[in-house]
Amino acid sequence: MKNSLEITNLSKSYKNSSFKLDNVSFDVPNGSIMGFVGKNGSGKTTTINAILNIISKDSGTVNFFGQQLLDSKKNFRNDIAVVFDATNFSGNLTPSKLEKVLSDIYANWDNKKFISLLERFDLNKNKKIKTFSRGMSMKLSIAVALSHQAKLLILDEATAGLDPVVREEILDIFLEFVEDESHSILISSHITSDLEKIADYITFISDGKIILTEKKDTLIYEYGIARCKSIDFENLDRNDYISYRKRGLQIEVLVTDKAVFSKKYPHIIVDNTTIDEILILIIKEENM
Amino acid sequence: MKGLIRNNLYSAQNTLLITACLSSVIAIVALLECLINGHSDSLFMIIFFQFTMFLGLYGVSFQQDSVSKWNRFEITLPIKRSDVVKARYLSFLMYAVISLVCSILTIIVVLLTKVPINFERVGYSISFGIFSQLMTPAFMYPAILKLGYEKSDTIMMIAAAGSAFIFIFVSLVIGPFVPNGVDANLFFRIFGIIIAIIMFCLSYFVSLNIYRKKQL
Repeated sequence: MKNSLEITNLSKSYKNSSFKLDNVSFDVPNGSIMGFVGKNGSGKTTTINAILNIISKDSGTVNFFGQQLLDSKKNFRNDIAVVFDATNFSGNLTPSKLEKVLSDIYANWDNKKFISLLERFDLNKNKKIKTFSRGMSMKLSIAVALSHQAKLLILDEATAGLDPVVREEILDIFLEFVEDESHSILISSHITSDLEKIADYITFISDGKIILTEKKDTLIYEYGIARCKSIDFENLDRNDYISYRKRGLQIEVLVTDKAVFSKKYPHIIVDNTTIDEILILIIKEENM
Repeated sequence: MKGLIRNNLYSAQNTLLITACLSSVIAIVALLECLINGHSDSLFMIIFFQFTMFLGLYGVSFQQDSVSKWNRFEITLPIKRSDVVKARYLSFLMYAVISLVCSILTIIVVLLTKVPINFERVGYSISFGIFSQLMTPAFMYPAILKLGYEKSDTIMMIAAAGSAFIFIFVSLVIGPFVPNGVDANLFFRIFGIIIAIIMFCLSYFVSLNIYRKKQL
């Protein structure tokens, strides 16, 4: 399987901060949606900034469609669309004026597509962007991202702060986008329920390190949380779980294959898990 | 790059219109002075004010960019970093031309009343205007890139004051260097404008160097 984006050993440190990206590596395969999750300050935005050359990296390589993103190679940036956590267009512009600005910049700008997306999102093309609500602004950013025939969408907390109806609408658009197998999406989000709906893979990041990259279906259907008493936990083989946390008198243990675990430890209850629970357990383990 | 210039102009569009309207109102004052008093003594001040008002435009698009964080998005577009800097300097030149056109139109309006004009003083204002329109962004843009877009207002005011100070300073120190038989005022004006053009070009290369290394 070919990858749209390959990140290998990406590192970045700051002079006045102990935070660093520590050999971040993961790939986004063609035709897939990669969810990128982690708590606040875990390094999601720093990773995305380093991927996009917004900040310089100390080491590591980032390849888009097999090519490095250099300032001199501007043409293949037409294939990359970026949506940040807020709209980044001047409030004095209207979508109509924005269209004139961006059609001069993107080689493959598709005005008809842009207008049809504005209509679909019910956005007035002659209204100033500063009068738009957050939901409308994010829809505009997404309309822009989808109007220049990009093959890779990079979204940094693009659904944060949106109501469930708008989020659902936007998630449907993302699913439509990846119907074309040459398209893919890297989406960082706090709202893991969104990722459970659309992502094919999930990458977990904590304190600047990639903890886990796994297929979403494997996480949802094969991973589980075993709820043990202390005495049961002490008898567990360390190779049978990946992390745990104490919760009251109970110990929650994250296991990678609940069927195998249940077979080995039939007296321990193993529940289905969610991406949120996996994230919490992984981070707790990291901090223990 | 055309799109970037367009974006800069759209961002400053409202302020540009307001400034052009105020500039027209001031031009009407000059016209009334000619019609009522029969002289154009304040024309040089009016030209001076018109240029000064247009300096405000330089800060506006930076403010807009600071609020919208456009500069972060801009870097993800299929453009080179050098295009961003070029577009900025071309926008500055466009603002300078617009302010010059407004001043020339004011002079033409006054000329139509057939009231005599003191071209010596008006020439001084125009040379100051061109000097400040080039020198202010020449100081301002590299400083904004270094210190941050959010400080653009303060930087713009310091740059404008600095360019006025340099203009006056140059006028004071240039006297002994004027060749014999040359009109000292004309020499100073041309010299000042040449300095401003050189500084504007140097500023472009400084900004380019800063922007290429800049982490947004």
